[in-house]
Amino acid sequence: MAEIVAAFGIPHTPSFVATVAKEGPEAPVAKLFQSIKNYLDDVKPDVIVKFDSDHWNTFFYDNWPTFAVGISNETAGPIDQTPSMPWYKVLVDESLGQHIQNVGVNNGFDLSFTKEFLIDHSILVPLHFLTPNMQIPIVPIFINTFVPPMPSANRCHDLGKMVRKAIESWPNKKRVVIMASGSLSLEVGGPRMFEGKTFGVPDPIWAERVVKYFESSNINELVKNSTTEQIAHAGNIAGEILNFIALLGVVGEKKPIFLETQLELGNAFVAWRLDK
Amino acid sequence: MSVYQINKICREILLDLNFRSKTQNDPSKSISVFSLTTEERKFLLSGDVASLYKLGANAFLLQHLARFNVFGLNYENYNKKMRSIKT
Repeated sequence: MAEIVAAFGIPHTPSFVATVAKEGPEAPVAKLFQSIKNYLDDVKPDVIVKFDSDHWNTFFYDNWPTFAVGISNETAGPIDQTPSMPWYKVLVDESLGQHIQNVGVNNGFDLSFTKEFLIDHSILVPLHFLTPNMQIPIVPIFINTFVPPMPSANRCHDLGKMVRKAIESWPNKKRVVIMASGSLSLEVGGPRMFEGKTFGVPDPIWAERVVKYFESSNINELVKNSTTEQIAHAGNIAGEILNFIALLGVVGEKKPIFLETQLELGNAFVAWRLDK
Repeated sequence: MSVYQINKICREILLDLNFRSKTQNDPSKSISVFSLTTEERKFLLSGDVASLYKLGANAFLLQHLARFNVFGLNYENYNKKMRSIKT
């Protein structure tokens, strides 16, 4: 059976790519990703399962799943033309994707799927920094974190628990890493942007609270407090917290071994070791 | 109200390079194929993103218009117009 070896919660801020291209490996954000990369390389993953918010690129209002698995051998991107990022081809583990969908549908999660899809910065910014050779196949699990009605925090937490069960019952001796990305409080393009910026952080106090929940692994409080109202208050992109909550459904009560924040951007970098 | 069509135009500006350059060159002709109300067309062509937002258009998608400089928008004037909305 497969083993879940580590979990990572990270940001996918598109401008990081150009920043690091310009400033090099000494840029503070490059160092943060390097710390995460060191943990990732240590656990020697065979496959990465990624909880992800598509930003109206892979999907659109004509056909928008609440939860969907990418089931394919390959994908590519970034379709949203992230500045300074090359066009990447990315391997996808079709067998694990299909297995997760099967287990989901048989356990009360009627997961949608897509067999031909492209991906945006939300998957590729983390991979650009963490697996730049794109040598590790991924399985994307898309969560509707933006378009009301979004799934509840509780439902996303249960999704994570189901995904854990699915991976642990996958009859392949593979080492699996779970990843989620996003910001904890973020407004992009809306009235709560900072002056002269393309984004704002409407609720930094919430972002700090979330980080404390991560630190103390107080998942129940995080799930209880991540209401629709709280998420809306934290910004039009703050639903990305649902990716982290799904991730915590996989992680369980374990405390992180690494946690750094960028509260001015509503971001956190978190790592958990889960191997035996 | 055709909020779906407004959102779709924003997304096409990002993803369809041909539509993007057509819209940069001749915005009125370029968006003529979409079913918009007279008011929506007016707001779009004048880059009135605050009014489009109030009609229900998605802010994340609207910002693509500023990124690619269509309808007279750029990041600077987009930021001012959007921030003028009381929240």
